[in-house]
Amino acid sequence: MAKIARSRPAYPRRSRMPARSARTSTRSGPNSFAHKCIHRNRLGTLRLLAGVRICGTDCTLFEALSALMSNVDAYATTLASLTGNAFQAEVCARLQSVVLGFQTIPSKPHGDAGLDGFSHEGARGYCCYGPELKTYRQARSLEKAIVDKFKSDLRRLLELEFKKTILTCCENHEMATILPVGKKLMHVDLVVNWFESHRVVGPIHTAFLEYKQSSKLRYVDANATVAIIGPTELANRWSVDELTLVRAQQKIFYQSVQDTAKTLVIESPKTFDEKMTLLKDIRPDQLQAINSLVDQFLYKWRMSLAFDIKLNETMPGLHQALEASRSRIVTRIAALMLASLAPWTELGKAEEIARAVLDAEFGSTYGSMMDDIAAGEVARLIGECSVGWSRPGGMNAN
Amino acid sequence: MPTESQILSELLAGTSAAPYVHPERIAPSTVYDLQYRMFVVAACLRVSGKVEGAFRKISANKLRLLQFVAMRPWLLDVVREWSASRKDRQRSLQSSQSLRRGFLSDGMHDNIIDYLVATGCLFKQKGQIAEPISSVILSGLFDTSEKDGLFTTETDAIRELNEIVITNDMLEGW
Repeated sequence: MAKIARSRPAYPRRSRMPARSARTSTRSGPNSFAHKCIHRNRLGTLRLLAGVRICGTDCTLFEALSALMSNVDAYATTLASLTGNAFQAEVCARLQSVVLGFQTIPSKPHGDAGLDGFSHEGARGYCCYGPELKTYRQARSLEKAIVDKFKSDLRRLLELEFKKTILTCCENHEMATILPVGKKLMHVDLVVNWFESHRVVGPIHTAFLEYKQSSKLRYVDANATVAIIGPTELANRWSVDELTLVRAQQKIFYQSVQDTAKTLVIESPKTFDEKMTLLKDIRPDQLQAINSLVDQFLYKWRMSLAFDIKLNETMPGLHQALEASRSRIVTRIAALMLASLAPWTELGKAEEIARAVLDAEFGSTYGSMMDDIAAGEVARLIGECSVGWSRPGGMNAN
Repeated sequence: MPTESQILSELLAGTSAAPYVHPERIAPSTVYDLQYRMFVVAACLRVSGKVEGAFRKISANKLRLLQFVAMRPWLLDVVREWSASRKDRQRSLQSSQSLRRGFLSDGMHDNIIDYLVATGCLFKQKGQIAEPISSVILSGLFDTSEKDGLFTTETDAIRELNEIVITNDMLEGW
């Protein structure tokens, strides 16, 4: 573990204290000036260790701990709101970043044999399950789904299956090509996005003991253990830094952009409609393709607007970068189209250009949604008159 | 799979439709419009500022929040929730994280204030932003907008913000 070098004295100099505290701190005891100094200095170390960003200049230890808790809580909340493959992807990304040698197991094309990842050279296994919580009206049915899913995973690891309610041995061929030769799992973590009921604990542990007795134990040790890990447990297990939060929240951000896009109405996209009507006049043989194109463009335009709104609300710095990127996109597309003898061929590259420009600013954080945003930006250029076409031998569409 | 612009390109390629490009027609976001931002600052000072001597003053941190929300009035509900939860530190942190990140990192606002200070329209005084009562630039901008009924959404948002309890704790981080 890396050591944190401390080049400053153990206690901050008095002159560094805010004047307000210096004037009023004449008492002794827990509210004394010296006491506050100690706490403030420890707070500095805490910030370094936890990577907590403190905006205020005069934070108390309690406030810093609140901020620290906030990171963990925020990550747990984010994990809990992820479902399906997004949840599994985030859990694997998290484990990869904190567990040396964590190995993910691709589920395609041969299946994952019930194991989503392993570490410690095959001694520890990980199974993930992120049910769509909204689809369960009652906690009882959600508990049952979780128990059933993990029991099924454990049966696959232990090479068991039910034949008319009788537990019988079978072969899990894929396990032989997943775990290192001769290695057996000593512990299995079952990671789930909802763990607010103890009623999943007993059935899973009981089943695991039962399965171990019935199994040939080719890939799981006889003394192997199992543990159920919820979002809070996973968040608490290792420190949560800003990068972890950003990665997880990016997935949520994508969802919120999609949700916002659904509620957006592009008010009177008159110019866009006129251009598309003109296109239908020019190519009456392609009406279906044009209608489909219009739908796609409008959907992605709304996505682009939603992305704009979300950045503007919460990350003005990035919004400024988006604004600059838009300017670069239109300049590059215009330059290519104006200079080319085959401008329509260049228009075909518009999304590629937009994607490249946006990737430079947002690719590392919002990469997965950049295709939609790039297409949305092209739709916006058409809708806001920057790029268009006129009837052969006629006037502009606008 | 072809992209939308590739499909459009193919549809147009076989025709004699004439392309045109007007890069100048892209309208920049009003968030980066100097006059608009000056108006918002003027409105914050007029609606929420307090007259002290020869100056109309407002806390720099409060101005930062007010102008941010005035331009995004749909965030009023977030401020209300944040204000209501201010005594519960944990809930307060969770409910307002995005908003805090938003208004605290609004670099454009810093630039606007620096510009107004450099031009003598505003003064910085110990955490306060002060506008001389005698100055007519910002107040004139606000008066004209009021007279012509412009930017009422922003002004209404600032008035609504005045009704919400905003403490120094909320403004200075946590």
